[in-house]
Amino acid sequence: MTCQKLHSYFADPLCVDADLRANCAEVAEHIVGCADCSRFVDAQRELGTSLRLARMSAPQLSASLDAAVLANYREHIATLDSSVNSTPVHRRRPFAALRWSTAVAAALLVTAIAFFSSRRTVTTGVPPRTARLAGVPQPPENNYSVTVIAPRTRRTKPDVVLARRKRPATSRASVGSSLAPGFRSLMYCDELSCVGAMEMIRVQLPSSVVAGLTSASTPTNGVVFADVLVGADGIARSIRIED
Amino acid sequence: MDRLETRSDAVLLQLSLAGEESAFVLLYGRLKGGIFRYAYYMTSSRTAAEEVTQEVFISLLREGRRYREELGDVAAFAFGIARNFVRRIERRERAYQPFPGNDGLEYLSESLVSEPEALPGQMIRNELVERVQTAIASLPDHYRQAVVLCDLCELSYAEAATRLQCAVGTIRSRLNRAHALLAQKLKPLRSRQPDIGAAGTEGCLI
Repeated sequence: MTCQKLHSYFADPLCVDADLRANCAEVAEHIVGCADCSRFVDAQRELGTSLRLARMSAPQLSASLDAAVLANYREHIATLDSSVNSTPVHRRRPFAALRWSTAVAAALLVTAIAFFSSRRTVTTGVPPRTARLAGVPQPPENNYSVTVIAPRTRRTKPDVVLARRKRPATSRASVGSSLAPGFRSLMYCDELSCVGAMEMIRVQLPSSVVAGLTSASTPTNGVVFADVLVGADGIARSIRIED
Repeated sequence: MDRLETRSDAVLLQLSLAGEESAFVLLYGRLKGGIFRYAYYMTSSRTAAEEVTQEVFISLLREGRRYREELGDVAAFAFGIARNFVRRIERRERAYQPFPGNDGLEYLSESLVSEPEALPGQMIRNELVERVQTAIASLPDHYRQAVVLCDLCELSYAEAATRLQCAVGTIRSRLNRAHALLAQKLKPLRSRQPDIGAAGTEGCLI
């Protein structure tokens, strides 16, 4: 046996049976002629003895600990049971469901109100549609359709409202005094009949319809653009012909 | 109870959490010894070991639903809890109980060797045990864990590797070095004998 073999002989297993290994014939034969290995084997033997002593020195678990752990367990289970009994499931769940459904309904309602109110004032991005404007002479038999296209600006408030805000002290006996510049009144309008915000829409009209409303020369293609102020009741209040 | 004894620890834990006391008693009986011994050897204090054992089972009841069988057995789960509590106690006690150094060991061993015949056998044995425990406590933590699990708690290398979440080879090499360190620390008891090589086992490798 070499020194290396002797060390590996002790290294792999535990030191528990170091005595047995030290008394092995091969080991005994080797350590007779090798002082280093002899000391090593002695050290291993003492270490094994010490560890065995330490292992046997562990005290026994006291009965009071067993009782304490068991008491903890019973207390834990009792706590669980009482918490389950005090809040029965069949009571809690309907309330929770009612609460959730109410919250969802409220959120949907708020979303719907916000959506529809924004649809009334915001006219950008509206696809072209046809409409008949009250107070505007309709084209005769050629059935020219009035095409409403998106206005230039993204402002949702009509110019007339802005104009009213800018000049609140002026007389409002006639709509002409409160209209933004360039607009022609299409009907009588005062504070009683023209309350609320108006919507400005851009329309495409045949030039023959607006012949008397503008002094500009009629385009060759026979089509002009106009901004029309429409009240909340859908009736056109005034018009501005785009040059 | 007879039927329960054939059940695995995982099943017993589930039954315990469901309120079956006999299952908990059985599980406690299976695990308490290992946990207590581990805590005792790590802290060298019976009071601390009992505290750790109790806390482990309380935690097992509270956190037992987090246990996943595919990640390991219940004993390993409980051992992880115990290890955390032992570390907590070590941090708590560090301020009050300074770690002994080699000087203290040498002083103690000198006093033992000087008058061995004056001390009764039981007293010598107690002192020796105390010295060994002190020497183990002075080892670096990863060596100490290996010694406590393999040499004192008598777990196999594979079980110790599972507990410490490392390879079996790592356990083996840690044990080897820990034994060399322990032999060096316990050397003053054999003070009249010639020194083993300073490097431990390597000194003998020719």
